[in-house]
Amino acid sequence: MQEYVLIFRHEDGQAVASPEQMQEWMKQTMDWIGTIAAKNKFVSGTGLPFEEAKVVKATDKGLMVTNGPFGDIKETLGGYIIVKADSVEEAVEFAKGSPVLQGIGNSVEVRKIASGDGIH
Amino acid sequence: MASIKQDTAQLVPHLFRTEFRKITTHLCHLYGLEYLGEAEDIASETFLAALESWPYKGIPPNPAAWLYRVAKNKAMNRLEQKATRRKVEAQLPAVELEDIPYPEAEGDQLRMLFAICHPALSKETQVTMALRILGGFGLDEIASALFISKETIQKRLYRGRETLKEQGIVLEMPIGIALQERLLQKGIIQKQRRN
Repeated sequence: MQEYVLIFRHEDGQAVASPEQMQEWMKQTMDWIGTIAAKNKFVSGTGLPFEEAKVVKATDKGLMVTNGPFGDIKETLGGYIIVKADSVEEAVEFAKGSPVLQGIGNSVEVRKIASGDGIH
Repeated sequence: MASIKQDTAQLVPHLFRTEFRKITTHLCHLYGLEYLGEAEDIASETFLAALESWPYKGIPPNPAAWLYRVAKNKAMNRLEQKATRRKVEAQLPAVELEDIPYPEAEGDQLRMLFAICHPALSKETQVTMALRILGGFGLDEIASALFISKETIQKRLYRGRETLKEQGIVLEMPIGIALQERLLQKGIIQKQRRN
Protein backbone atom coordinates (compact mmCIF):
# COMPACT_ATOMS: atom_id res chain seq x y z
CA MET A 1 0.00 0.00 0.00
CA GLN A 2 1.28 3.37 -1.05
CA GLU A 3 0.13 6.90 -0.28
CA TYR A 4 -0.81 9.23 -3.12
CA VAL A 5 -1.68 12.89 -3.09
CA LEU A 6 -4.51 14.01 -5.38
CA ILE A 7 -4.04 17.68 -6.19
CA PHE A 8 -6.99 19.73 -7.48
CA ARG A 9 -6.36 22.45 -10.01
CA HIS A 10 -9.07 24.88 -11.04
CA GLU A 11 -9.17 26.96 -14.17
CA ASP A 12 -11.37 29.54 -12.51
CA GLY A 13 -10.67 29.45 -8.83
CA GLN A 14 -12.43 32.68 -8.00
CA ALA A 15 -15.93 31.82 -9.11
CA VAL A 16 -18.41 33.12 -6.55
CA ALA A 17 -20.95 30.52 -5.55
CA SER A 18 -24.45 30.83 -4.13
CA PRO A 19 -25.19 29.08 -0.81
CA GLU A 20 -27.00 26.36 -2.79
CA GLN A 21 -23.96 25.83 -5.01
CA MET A 22 -21.75 25.76 -1.93
CA GLN A 23 -24.04 23.11 -0.44
CA GLU A 24 -23.90 21.03 -3.61
CA TRP A 25 -20.11 21.29 -3.75
CA MET A 26 -19.81 20.32 -0.10
CA LYS A 27 -22.15 17.37 -0.47
CA GLN A 28 -20.37 16.03 -3.56
CA THR A 29 -16.96 16.40 -1.97
CA MET A 30 -18.11 14.67 1.21
CA ASP A 31 -19.72 11.86 -0.76
CA TRP A 32 -16.56 11.41 -2.80
CA ILE A 33 -14.31 11.34 0.26
CA GLY A 34 -16.90 9.10 1.95
CA THR A 35 -16.55 6.40 -0.71
CA ILE A 36 -12.75 6.45 -0.31
CA ALA A 37 -13.02 6.46 3.48
CA ALA A 38 -15.45 3.52 3.32
CA LYS A 39 -12.58 1.47 1.83
CA ASN A 40 -10.42 2.74 4.67
CA LYS A 41 -8.18 4.49 2.16
CA PHE A 42 -8.69 8.16 2.98
CA VAL A 43 -5.76 9.65 4.92
CA SER A 44 -6.36 13.40 5.06
CA GLY A 45 -7.10 16.44 2.96
CA THR A 46 -7.89 20.12 2.93
CA GLY A 47 -9.00 22.98 0.76
CA LEU A 48 -6.58 25.81 0.13
CA PRO A 49 -8.18 29.25 0.54
CA PHE A 50 -7.23 31.88 -2.03
CA GLU A 51 -7.54 34.59 0.55
CA GLU A 52 -4.20 36.01 1.63
CA ALA A 53 -2.39 33.74 -0.80
CA LYS A 54 1.18 34.78 -1.64
CA VAL A 55 3.83 33.53 -4.01
CA VAL A 56 7.54 33.85 -3.26
CA LYS A 57 9.50 33.75 -6.48
CA ALA A 58 13.23 33.69 -7.16
CA THR A 59 14.11 36.27 -9.78
CA ASP A 60 17.41 37.73 -11.02
CA LYS A 61 16.67 40.74 -8.78
CA GLY A 62 16.23 38.56 -5.72
CA LEU A 63 13.14 37.12 -4.05
CA MET A 64 9.85 38.62 -5.15
CA VAL A 65 6.70 38.27 -3.07
CA THR A 66 3.42 38.68 -4.94
CA ASN A 67 -0.22 38.25 -4.14
CA GLY A 68 -0.99 35.01 -5.79
CA PRO A 69 -1.50 32.66 -7.36
CA PHE A 70 -3.33 34.97 -9.75
CA GLY A 71 -2.24 36.88 -12.81
CA ASP A 72 -0.13 34.97 -15.27
CA ILE A 73 -0.91 31.57 -13.74
CA LYS A 74 -4.01 30.18 -15.40
CA GLU A 75 -4.64 27.27 -13.09
CA THR A 76 -4.86 27.60 -9.35
CA LEU A 77 -4.44 25.02 -6.66
CA GLY A 78 -7.73 24.47 -4.84
CA GLY A 79 -6.87 21.72 -2.40
CA TYR A 80 -5.65 18.16 -2.08
CA ILE A 81 -6.40 14.86 -0.44
CA ILE A 82 -4.05 12.06 0.50
CA VAL A 83 -5.24 8.50 -0.15
CA LYS A 84 -3.88 5.02 0.27
CA ALA A 85 -3.91 2.86 -2.84
CA ASP A 86 -2.51 -0.49 -3.98
CA SER A 87 -1.46 0.99 -7.30
CA VAL A 88 -1.37 4.27 -9.18
CA GLU A 89 -4.30 2.93 -11.22
CA GLU A 90 -6.41 2.66 -8.10
CA ALA A 91 -5.41 6.20 -7.09
CA VAL A 92 -6.43 7.38 -10.57
CA GLU A 93 -9.81 5.69 -10.12
CA PHE A 94 -10.27 7.67 -6.90
CA ALA A 95 -9.25 10.86 -8.68
CA LYS A 96 -11.83 10.31 -11.42
CA GLY A 97 -14.62 10.65 -8.86
CA SER A 98 -13.57 14.13 -7.76
CA PRO A 99 -16.29 16.77 -8.16
CA VAL A 100 -13.53 19.18 -9.18
CA LEU A 101 -13.60 17.43 -12.57
CA GLN A 102 -17.12 18.67 -13.31
CA GLY A 103 -15.53 21.94 -14.41
CA ILE A 104 -14.08 21.76 -17.93
CA GLY A 105 -10.37 22.44 -17.85
CA ASN A 106 -10.01 21.51 -14.18
CA SER A 107 -7.67 18.67 -13.32
CA VAL A 108 -6.64 16.32 -10.56
CA GLU A 109 -2.96 15.46 -10.45
CA VAL A 110 -2.04 12.08 -8.93
CA ARG A 111 1.39 11.94 -7.29
CA LYS A 112 3.01 9.23 -5.25
CA ILE A 113 4.28 10.35 -1.88
CA ALA A 114 7.87 9.28 -1.22
CA SER A 115 7.54 6.93 1.71
CA GLY A 116 11.18 6.86 2.72
CA ASP A 117 11.15 3.12 3.40
CA GLY A 118 13.38 2.35 0.45
CA ILE A 119 10.95 -0.24 -0.93
CA HIS A 120 9.36 1.58 -3.88
CA MET B 1 -26.24 8.56 10.76
CA ALA B 2 -29.41 9.16 8.75
CA SER B 3 -30.42 12.09 10.92
CA ILE B 4 -27.02 13.71 10.53
CA LYS B 5 -27.34 13.40 6.77
CA GLN B 6 -30.75 15.03 6.87
CA ASP B 7 -29.42 17.89 8.98
CA THR B 8 -26.51 18.56 6.66
CA ALA B 9 -28.52 18.36 3.43
CA GLN B 10 -29.39 22.05 3.55
CA LEU B 11 -26.83 23.10 6.13
CA VAL B 12 -24.97 25.76 4.16
CA PRO B 13 -28.06 27.60 2.81
CA HIS B 14 -29.61 27.38 6.28
CA LEU B 15 -26.54 28.79 8.00
CA PHE B 16 -26.23 31.44 5.33
CA ARG B 17 -29.76 32.65 5.98
CA THR B 18 -29.36 32.74 9.74
CA GLU B 19 -25.70 33.50 10.41
CA PHE B 20 -24.61 35.80 7.57
CA ARG B 21 -26.59 38.71 9.00
CA LYS B 22 -25.53 37.96 12.56
CA ILE B 23 -21.86 37.98 11.66
CA THR B 24 -22.21 41.14 9.54
CA THR B 25 -24.21 43.12 12.10
CA HIS B 26 -22.09 41.96 14.99
CA LEU B 27 -18.88 43.09 13.30
CA CYS B 28 -20.52 46.47 12.56
CA HIS B 29 -21.57 46.67 16.17
CA LEU B 30 -17.98 46.08 17.29
CA TYR B 31 -16.13 48.19 14.74
CA GLY B 32 -18.65 50.68 13.42
CA LEU B 33 -21.04 50.88 10.50
CA GLU B 34 -18.36 52.44 8.29
CA TYR B 35 -16.89 48.93 8.07
CA LEU B 36 -20.10 47.45 6.65
CA GLY B 37 -18.44 46.49 3.35
CA GLU B 38 -15.55 44.78 5.12
CA ALA B 39 -17.97 43.06 7.51
CA GLU B 40 -19.93 41.64 4.55
CA ASP B 41 -16.70 40.47 2.92
CA ILE B 42 -15.58 38.78 6.12
CA ALA B 43 -18.96 37.05 6.47
CA SER B 44 -18.74 35.77 2.87
CA GLU B 45 -15.15 34.62 3.30
CA THR B 46 -16.10 32.83 6.49
CA PHE B 47 -18.51 30.65 4.53
CA LEU B 48 -15.85 29.98 1.90
CA ALA B 49 -13.49 28.96 4.72
CA ALA B 50 -16.10 26.44 5.88
CA LEU B 51 -16.14 25.02 2.37
CA GLU B 52 -12.36 24.65 2.41
CA SER B 53 -12.49 22.72 5.64
CA TRP B 54 -15.75 20.91 6.41
CA PRO B 55 -15.88 18.48 3.46
CA TYR B 56 -12.42 17.18 4.36
CA LYS B 57 -12.35 17.35 8.12
CA GLY B 58 -16.01 16.84 8.86
CA ILE B 59 -18.74 19.24 9.88
CA PRO B 60 -17.95 20.66 13.32
CA PRO B 61 -20.33 19.78 16.20
CA ASN B 62 -21.46 23.42 16.42
CA PRO B 63 -21.20 24.89 12.90
CA ALA B 64 -22.45 28.37 13.92
CA ALA B 65 -19.83 28.65 16.67
CA TRP B 66 -17.19 27.56 14.16
CA LEU B 67 -18.27 30.34 11.80
CA TYR B 68 -18.18 32.96 14.57
CA ARG B 69 -14.70 31.91 15.61
CA VAL B 70 -13.37 32.15 12.06
CA ALA B 71 -15.13 35.49 11.47
CA LYS B 72 -13.71 36.85 14.70
CA ASN B 73 -10.18 35.84 13.72
CA LYS B 74 -10.58 37.39 10.30
CA ALA B 75 -11.89 40.60 11.87
CA MET B 76 -8.99 40.65 14.33
CA ASN B 77 -6.52 40.41 11.46
CA ARG B 78 -8.23 42.82 9.14
CA LEU B 79 -10.24 45.35 11.14
CA GLU B 80 -8.69 45.58 14.57
CA GLN B 81 -5.76 47.77 13.55
CA LYS B 82 -7.82 50.10 11.39
CA ALA B 83 -10.59 50.41 13.93
CA THR B 84 -8.25 50.88 16.87
CA ARG B 85 -6.49 53.74 15.10
CA ARG B 86 -9.81 55.40 14.43
CA LYS B 87 -10.98 54.89 18.00
CA VAL B 88 -7.76 56.28 19.43
CA GLU B 89 -8.14 59.34 17.21
CA ALA B 90 -11.76 59.76 18.21
CA GLN B 91 -10.92 58.93 21.85
CA LEU B 92 -13.43 56.11 21.97
CA PRO B 93 -13.08 53.13 24.27
CA ALA B 94 -11.27 50.16 22.74
CA VAL B 95 -13.35 47.22 21.51
CA GLU B 96 -13.22 44.09 23.63
CA LEU B 97 -13.99 41.29 21.22
CA GLU B 98 -15.10 38.93 23.94
CA ASP B 99 -17.46 41.47 25.46
CA ILE B 100 -20.57 40.68 23.50
CA PRO B 101 -21.39 37.08 22.70
CA TYR B 102 -22.97 36.48 19.29
CA PRO B 103 -26.36 35.18 20.38
CA GLU B 104 -27.13 38.66 21.74
CA ALA B 105 -26.91 40.04 18.24
CA GLU B 106 -30.70 40.16 17.81
CA GLY B 107 -30.86 43.78 18.98
CA ASP B 108 -28.03 44.61 16.61
CA GLN B 109 -30.12 43.38 13.73
CA LEU B 110 -32.95 45.73 14.57
CA ARG B 111 -30.43 48.59 14.79
CA MET B 112 -29.04 47.46 11.45
CA LEU B 113 -32.53 47.50 9.96
CA PHE B 114 -32.98 51.12 11.06
CA ALA B 115 -29.53 52.06 9.77
CA ILE B 116 -30.01 50.62 6.29
CA CYS B 117 -33.55 52.01 6.07
CA HIS B 118 -32.29 55.50 6.88
CA PRO B 119 -34.15 58.20 4.91
CA ALA B 120 -30.82 59.35 3.44
CA LEU B 121 -30.96 56.20 1.31
CA SER B 122 -33.36 55.74 -1.58
CA LYS B 123 -36.14 53.23 -1.13
CA GLU B 124 -34.54 50.95 -3.74
CA THR B 125 -31.25 51.02 -1.87
CA GLN B 126 -32.98 50.30 1.42
CA VAL B 127 -34.69 47.21 -0.02
CA THR B 128 -31.50 45.98 -1.69
CA MET B 129 -29.40 46.43 1.44
CA ALA B 130 -32.00 44.74 3.63
CA LEU B 131 -32.16 41.72 1.31
CA ARG B 132 -28.39 41.47 1.15
CA ILE B 133 -27.36 42.20 4.73
CA LEU B 134 -30.32 40.99 6.77
CA GLY B 135 -31.78 38.47 4.34
CA GLY B 136 -28.42 36.96 3.44
CA PHE B 137 -29.47 36.75 -0.23
CA GLY B 138 -26.85 36.54 -2.94
CA LEU B 139 -26.44 39.19 -5.63
CA ASP B 140 -27.85 36.84 -8.27
CA GLU B 141 -30.92 36.12 -6.19
CA ILE B 142 -31.62 39.79 -5.51
CA ALA B 143 -31.05 40.66 -9.16
CA SER B 144 -33.55 38.08 -10.39
CA ALA B 145 -36.10 38.97 -7.70
CA LEU B 146 -36.03 42.70 -8.52
CA PHE B 147 -35.60 42.23 -12.30
CA ILE B 148 -32.44 44.31 -12.43
CA SER B 149 -28.85 43.52 -13.33
CA LYS B 150 -26.28 42.27 -10.86
CA GLU B 151 -24.12 45.30 -11.64
CA THR B 152 -26.93 47.65 -10.62
CA ILE B 153 -27.28 45.73 -7.35
CA GLN B 154 -23.55 46.02 -6.73
CA LYS B 155 -23.60 49.76 -7.45
CA ARG B 156 -26.58 50.27 -5.16
CA LEU B 157 -24.93 48.40 -2.31
CA TYR B 158 -21.72 50.33 -2.82
CA ARG B 159 -23.46 53.70 -2.93
CA GLY B 160 -25.58 52.75 0.07
CA ARG B 161 -22.49 51.95 2.13
CA GLU B 162 -20.84 55.18 1.02
CA THR B 163 -23.92 57.21 1.98
CA LEU B 164 -23.97 55.60 5.42
CA LYS B 165 -20.32 56.59 5.84
CA GLU B 166 -20.76 60.13 4.51
CA GLN B 167 -23.79 60.80 6.67
CA GLY B 168 -22.04 59.36 9.70
CA ILE B 169 -24.96 57.01 10.33
CA VAL B 170 -24.32 54.75 13.32
CA LEU B 171 -25.77 51.45 14.45
CA GLU B 172 -28.32 52.93 16.80
CA MET B 173 -32.01 52.75 17.52
CA PRO B 174 -33.75 56.06 17.01
CA ILE B 175 -35.57 57.05 20.18
CA GLY B 176 -38.52 59.23 21.08
CA ILE B 177 -39.79 61.56 18.38
CA ALA B 178 -37.07 60.38 15.97
CA LEU B 179 -38.39 56.83 16.25
CA GLN B 180 -41.96 57.99 15.77
CA GLU B 181 -40.98 59.93 12.66
CA ARG B 182 -39.16 56.98 11.18
CA LEU B 183 -42.13 54.69 11.74
CA LEU B 184 -44.53 57.31 10.37
CA GLN B 185 -42.44 57.58 7.19
CA LYS B 186 -42.68 53.85 6.67
CA GLY B 187 -46.41 53.84 7.40
CA ILE B 188 -45.79 51.40 10.23
CA ILE B 189 -47.70 53.69 12.56
CA GLN B 190 -50.21 56.37 11.71
CA LYS B 191 -50.70 59.84 13.13
CA GLN B 192 -53.19 59.77 15.95
CA ARG B 193 -56.25 61.87 15.31
CA ARG B 194 -57.62 63.90 18.14
CA ASN B 195 -61.34 63.78 18.57
